Amino acid sequence: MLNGLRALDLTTEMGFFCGKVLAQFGVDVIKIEKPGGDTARRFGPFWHDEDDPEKSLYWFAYNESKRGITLDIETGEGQDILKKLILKSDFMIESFPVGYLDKLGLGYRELSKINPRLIMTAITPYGQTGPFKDYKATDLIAMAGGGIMSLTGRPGGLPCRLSPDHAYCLTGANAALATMIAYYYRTWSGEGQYIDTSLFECAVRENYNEVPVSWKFGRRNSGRNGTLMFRYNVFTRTIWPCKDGHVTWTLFAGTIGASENKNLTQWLEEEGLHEEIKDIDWDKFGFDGITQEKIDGIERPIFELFKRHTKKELEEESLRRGLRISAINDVKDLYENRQLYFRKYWKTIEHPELSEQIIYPGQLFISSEMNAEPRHRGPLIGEHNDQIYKDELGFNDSTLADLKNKGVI
Amino acid sequence: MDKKLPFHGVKVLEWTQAINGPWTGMYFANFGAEVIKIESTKFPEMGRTSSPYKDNIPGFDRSITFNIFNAGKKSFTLNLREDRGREIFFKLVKWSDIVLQNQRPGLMKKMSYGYEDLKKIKEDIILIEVSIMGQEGPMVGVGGWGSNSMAQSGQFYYYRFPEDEPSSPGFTAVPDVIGPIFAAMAGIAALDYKRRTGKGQHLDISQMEPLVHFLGPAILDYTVNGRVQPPVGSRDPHAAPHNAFRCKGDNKYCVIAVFTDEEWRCFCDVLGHPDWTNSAKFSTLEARKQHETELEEWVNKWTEQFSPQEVMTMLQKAGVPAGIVQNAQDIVDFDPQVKARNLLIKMHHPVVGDYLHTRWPFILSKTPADIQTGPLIGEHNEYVCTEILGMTEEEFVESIIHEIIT
Repeated sequence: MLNGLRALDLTTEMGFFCGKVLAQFGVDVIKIEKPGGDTARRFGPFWHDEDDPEKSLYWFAYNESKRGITLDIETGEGQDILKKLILKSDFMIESFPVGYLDKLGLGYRELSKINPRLIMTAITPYGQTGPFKDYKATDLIAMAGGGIMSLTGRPGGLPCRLSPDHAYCLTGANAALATMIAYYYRTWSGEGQYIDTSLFECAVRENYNEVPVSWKFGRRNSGRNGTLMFRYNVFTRTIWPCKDGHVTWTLFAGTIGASENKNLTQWLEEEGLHEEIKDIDWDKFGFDGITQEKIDGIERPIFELFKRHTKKELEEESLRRGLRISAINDVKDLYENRQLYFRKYWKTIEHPELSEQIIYPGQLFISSEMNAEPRHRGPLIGEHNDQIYKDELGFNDSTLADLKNKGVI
Repeated sequence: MDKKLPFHGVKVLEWTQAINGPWTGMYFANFGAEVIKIESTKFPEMGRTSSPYKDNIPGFDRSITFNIFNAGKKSFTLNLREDRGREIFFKLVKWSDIVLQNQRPGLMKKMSYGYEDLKKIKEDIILIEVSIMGQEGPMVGVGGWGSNSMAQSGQFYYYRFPEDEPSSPGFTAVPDVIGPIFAAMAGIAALDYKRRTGKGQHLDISQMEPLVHFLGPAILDYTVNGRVQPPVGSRDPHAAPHNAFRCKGDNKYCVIAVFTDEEWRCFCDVLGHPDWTNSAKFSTLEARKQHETELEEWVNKWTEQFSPQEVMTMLQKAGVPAGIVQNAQDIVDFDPQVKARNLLIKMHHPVVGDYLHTRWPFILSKTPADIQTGPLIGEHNEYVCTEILGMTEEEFVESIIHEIIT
């Protein structure tokens, strides 16, 4: 994949995902933690619930495929060491507050003088400029500001954020893409540059349907509709309870809808449930001027049908009958998912210090030439100090011991 | 800005629809690539027939969302099913660095436009195929759309408070935002690979695969500890208070996230250390998690007095993460950070008129994105035929008459 490239990763949990993605693209990503390790190593879940900074599954999940060293960049020696490392690096990813690195003499202005080819990616809550630039944001704050939270949740219930740490992963992915765009520019121009991205802006961009379209052209703010969607002035159901959980299916019109709905009617007939809808001509069916009563009449037997079956049964029948029902998978369902299995998705990663292999999510995509799989587990605290400080930078044992005593590494 | 953009000289040919494919192509179009989108007036893609329309009147050039997903591209209407249309398609493949598609899985292969077919035309072509679950496999079936993708990838399961059913975030198809980010990265890596090795490749990108990585910790909790991590809604296992809280006004909420002891102290400072904050029930994170429901009742009693803006300002000034649960109007009309950062840029389209477009959420210092509006349908037919394919004007007109350019 990307060949012979190195990234220095000085992120906290809000920026982990960027380096993880780049590592999966083949970049040698070196996580730089303060001595003692990242605070996020205290986040569970833990391996066998053992609360230990080198057993955090949260930390391992989001830092997989990186190597790791310890370094305190607030010390003079630490800053010198970082500058030495910058000379040999292509990328630097960081998620410090605005101005923090500049104050230490480690901002882009300084570092690009040392290495003009450096691409520096800065991840912050709200961006490098603006009235909120010094504000703090976590995943919750970003998803709320971005607007998708106002759309998610039970009607009349609290606004709900999306998957855990969704904004961190979303921003990390955006940051990795921006880094690669800058990298591609450098391949023919020779120049590095600075990338400014934020949790808040990524969350707003994710809210593409509402902002700006829905508000500017529909003059409305969509509310929280839970399992329903408000289309053509009626509510149609999109999330349905079934015997052992939930599935998604949505009523459509048009040619695709027609063939699907005919197949569904056939199935309802086989289960003795088609009475209310057997007379509908699906080829002519459309939503123009439709009433809620009519929709409810169509959805009632379907609701009953889905409740009778499990997620697996509904998916099997869906494939067999040409329908578009999908199980709402939990992590167990994901692990057993036939499509992921077919794609040889799950990856076994060695954790020798835990005397076991752990199964991780696998390739980011399939390529006829490139390998987009996870490489190896994330690092233990300071795991690659010797490799980087001794083997590469040529420090001897006594220098290393000295630096360690002073708390620089 | 006279610096050439990153993808200057890169040529992309796309046959895409709806969001997943077009959004991928936009990254290339907005950073300097020439992107030609193949379309059809006979079989218009969904983007062309989606409301809202300008003045609520349907029309291929009147859909606003088309421009949101196809900014900066050229449009070429081509009959891909006709012999001479096929010839033209293959000529364009020869012209391209990247071919991008998100048709129903298997369709292009069936039309003899699969990777092996394209490779015969151009040995080093990069073919990017994006879909919900991959081009082949036991569950590829009849395809699906946003909600199928959110369901399959494990996202929907988490979109709820524990006592509720999963909920859909309206029409927002989250995987259609995230899939393209990875597809574009794969495309860039492929371009770089070609630069180094001279080889093209076939990329099969399933939205599901990168999305499962978003649930990394929960996945490992299952594969290691056998646990299915339940949804927590707007709460968080590592913080309290951490949730949406009621504010003054109808359906107005703020969000507050207190992770550290320091932040809890600052939070209590802002509230003026009312008696309840001194209770042992709330003195540590562990204690606050144990009594979280009661904690939230107390916090709500405080937040209810203020607007979300007031809560955000008071708490942020004290170093406590807090924000507003914004709706579209809040973001577009009121948010000061959105304005200061020019997150919404003014665009102009010949038919749609003036509209706002959310720029990419990353700013490259030397080569910022250059975002142009979307094309009218078939707007670049003459350009493609005469400039790229080398047709004469007569040949171009003939192609229209014979419905090859259609």
